[in-house]
Amino acid sequence: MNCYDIHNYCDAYLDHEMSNTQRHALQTHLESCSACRQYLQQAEKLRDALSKLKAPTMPPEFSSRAFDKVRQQNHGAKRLTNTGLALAASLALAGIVGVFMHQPDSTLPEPNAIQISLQQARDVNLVFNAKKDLNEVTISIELSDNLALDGFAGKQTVSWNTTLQKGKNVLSLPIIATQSGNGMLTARLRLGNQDKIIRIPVNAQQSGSTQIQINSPHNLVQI
Amino acid sequence: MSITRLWSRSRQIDRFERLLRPFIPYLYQLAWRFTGAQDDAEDLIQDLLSKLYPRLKELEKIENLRAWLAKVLYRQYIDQLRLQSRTPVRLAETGMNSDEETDIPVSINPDQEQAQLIAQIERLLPQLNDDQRLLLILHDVEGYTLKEIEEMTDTPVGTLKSRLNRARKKLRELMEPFSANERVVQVKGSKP
Repeated sequence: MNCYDIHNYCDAYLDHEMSNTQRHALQTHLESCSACRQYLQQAEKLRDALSKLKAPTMPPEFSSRAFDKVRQQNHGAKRLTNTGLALAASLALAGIVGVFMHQPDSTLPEPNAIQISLQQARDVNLVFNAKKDLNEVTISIELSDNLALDGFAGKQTVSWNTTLQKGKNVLSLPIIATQSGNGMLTARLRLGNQDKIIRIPVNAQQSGSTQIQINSPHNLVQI
Repeated sequence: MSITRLWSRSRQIDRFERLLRPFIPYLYQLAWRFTGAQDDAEDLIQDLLSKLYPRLKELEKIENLRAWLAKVLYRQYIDQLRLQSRTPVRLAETGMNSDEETDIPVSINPDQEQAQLIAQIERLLPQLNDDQRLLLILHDVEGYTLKEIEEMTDTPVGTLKSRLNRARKKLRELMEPFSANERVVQVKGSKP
């Protein structure tokens, strides 16, 4: 084995992939060739150094920024501050500030009952009007026992923090009735110590019953 | 005012984020290794997330998501390279110049030597062609096995092994001038 061979077999030698005969021939050459010994030594150091290459640490805000962009690309919505439940509804709420600022705690008049079919998820759209941007608004949705939020079976109450923006904002709630009968959807908005509550009667009927079309004026409950 | 299903959609994006967020630091590191620049790495991951979002249900069924994501990231980067028609010599000018040679210390301790070696590798890696560079990164830097890389790149292990050896040999050849310079400086430094 000569110096040229050593350069070619270098990696096989370091990876222990040579036959005993080849290995012996290589070692014999190394005993008499300091240049090849140095070459192999350098190759080992290079391997070691490669394994220690480090990429720069990711900027701490990058993950949030990246997912926010996906949100904006797909939903036009901003990140919400979640309060424990792995639930976040995108709300563009604004104008509530004025309500919160100038009115005491209040319960809005009940709108007409919404009718839905049993076991069929229907969107109930709550429209929030805000006079200015609002931060740290807590929204709670409470459902009577015969109702559920689609995808959140068994949870009769969900709440989360969000940021509301000036103007009209829509929260689309996929409501599903598990039992027929009259039920109630209660939406509670809290800003600081002030609450705004809207209670919406929901009448669950067997399939085939008359029901209100999604987005019809009747199931648009404006707060 | 248009009414949208923000509720259900937001649940989807939250599921997407919960699923992928733990892998982002790893993917960032890999993307940085591929691209060699922070902006490019961020763009690569952003594009990846945008493309994967519609495939959330598929992602939720993948067992080894880390390896799968690395594979998709790799392929996306390769596609990007093809689109850009990048050439292996694109960063050849980043090699050490004659002024830097004078900075090589006369004698260095093992830690300094390795730090210097790492710095040299960082400078020289871009001089390998893309296939060699990416293979070295995946195998020698990130520690993927050839079998794993075979699956990632759809390239047979035998081909990868040959390519890896050529990449290492090429890197060693690129390193040789620095070793020679170091020896010369050491000789000069040893003179009274």
